[in-house]
Amino acid sequence: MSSLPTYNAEPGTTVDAASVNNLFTGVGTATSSLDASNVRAQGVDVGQVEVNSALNAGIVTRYASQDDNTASATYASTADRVVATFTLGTAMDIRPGDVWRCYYSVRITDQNSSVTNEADLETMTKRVGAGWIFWLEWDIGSGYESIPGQEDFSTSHYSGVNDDAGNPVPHMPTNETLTSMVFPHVSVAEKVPVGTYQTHQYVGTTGLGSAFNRSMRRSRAFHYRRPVPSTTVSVAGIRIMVRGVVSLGRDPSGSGDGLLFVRDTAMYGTDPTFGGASDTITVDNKRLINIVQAEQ
Amino acid sequence: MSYTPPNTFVAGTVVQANLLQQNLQEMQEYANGGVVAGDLSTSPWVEQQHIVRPSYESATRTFTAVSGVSSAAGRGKFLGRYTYVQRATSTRNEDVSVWQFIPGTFSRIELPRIPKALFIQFSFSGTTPSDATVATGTDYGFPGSDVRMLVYPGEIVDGSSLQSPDLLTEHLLQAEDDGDIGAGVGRRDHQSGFHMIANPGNRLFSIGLVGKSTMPNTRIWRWSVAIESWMV
Repeated sequence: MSSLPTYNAEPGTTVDAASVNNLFTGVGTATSSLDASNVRAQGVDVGQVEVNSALNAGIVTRYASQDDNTASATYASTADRVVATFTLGTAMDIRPGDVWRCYYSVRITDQNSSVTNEADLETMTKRVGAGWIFWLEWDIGSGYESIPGQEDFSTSHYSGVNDDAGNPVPHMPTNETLTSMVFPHVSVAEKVPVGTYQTHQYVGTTGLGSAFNRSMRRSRAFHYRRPVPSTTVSVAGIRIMVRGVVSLGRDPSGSGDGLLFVRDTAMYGTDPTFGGASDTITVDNKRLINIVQAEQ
Repeated sequence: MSYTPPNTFVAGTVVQANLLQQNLQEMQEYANGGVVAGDLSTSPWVEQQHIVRPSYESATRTFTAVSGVSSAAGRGKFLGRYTYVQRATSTRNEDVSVWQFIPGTFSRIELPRIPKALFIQFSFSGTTPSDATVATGTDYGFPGSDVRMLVYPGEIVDGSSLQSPDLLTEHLLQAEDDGDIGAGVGRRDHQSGFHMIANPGNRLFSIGLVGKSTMPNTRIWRWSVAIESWMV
């Protein structure tokens, strides 16, 4: 409490030393711990804020980092792939109530073509409805694992997601894709009689060799607020994952839930224009930005 | 240091006026500039009403508050106001190596205090039509246009200020010859990305798009930037 003491000598009475002393020492006590009762409205401006205070509790932006990875690598379909692993220079603590703002971007070259002559593209059958999915995982002390609100591909999320042979197909629930980013995948096949498909071929092309393999940058942002109450989580690293080729599906049990399923199983052996090792994606110039801000 | 009365009075003695005046004088001096940070309560006590109202600077479109500053600029889908990256300004269609200003895409922000970080989100959309003069199979980005975001610490004063755009905010708006995709067919693309500078210092930043192109025109028909910086 930092209210100043009041002392009003009554007329006709004798002022004693203790009362006078209490007045002055009371002022000293009050001014040793100034608080809200001593600061007027709008009394705190930029100039009153200590930027590099040791009292970290008042800091709004508690963590900010940017990490780049310019390495280029090509990934085939058929398995989860690690695109980039960012080991944070300083562990990123997210306290209960803190908001983690994460931004990442990648440059992608989607390589898929059964075309050896680009001019033939106009005569080919274009197939859409598939994509590559990117997502994040974090290391909070037990190795890399899913971030809350983000699931990995597995065969156990929904039952009955099977191929024609009855084998489970890896899939990810669409309501657990907090950090994910989908990049559309276009495939082409030669026009042949209905029911017959050419074996899908990847033809390595460079520069302007294929109209479909233009490099382009895609980005994704998401926010995660650490629940209250909970514990502080310390993030040592974050990695970008990719899986393809995937398509949208629905829970076979009838719940209506959506899912992303991989297209590299025998179920699609009769339609090889999606999935398989021939579908590749090249990823380079990856960037990850992390910001943690305190609850206000 | 908090107020400390210089004199203590003793019961049974006469109160000297000058001593009383010293105590009052000391109190006056404390109130007039004697308050130091150590006098503030260490328990959190600043509430919303204690924070000064933010200010808005219309010239730079900068919003300045206690914890940080923010700014935003953008151009929506207003097709009558294309801006361009093109070869017309250099009269060159090969070996273009100089980054050029893309008009209408620059924003400025003044950071009034030393911030912890400057964070930028940007997006733009461009269209590159096919062109009969394009030869295929050359180096990446050419023929075509390469557009990148530039975060320049200071005022843009000449062309040399434009020559260090950020690699990880780039995009190649590549073009094709008419034979591949048909005459008059354009390649349209949308780009977005992020950029952060830690401890950038309290100074002016110029932020916008630069490009280099061998094309008659690559139209940048939508552009936006959002800038944030936090001082605490």
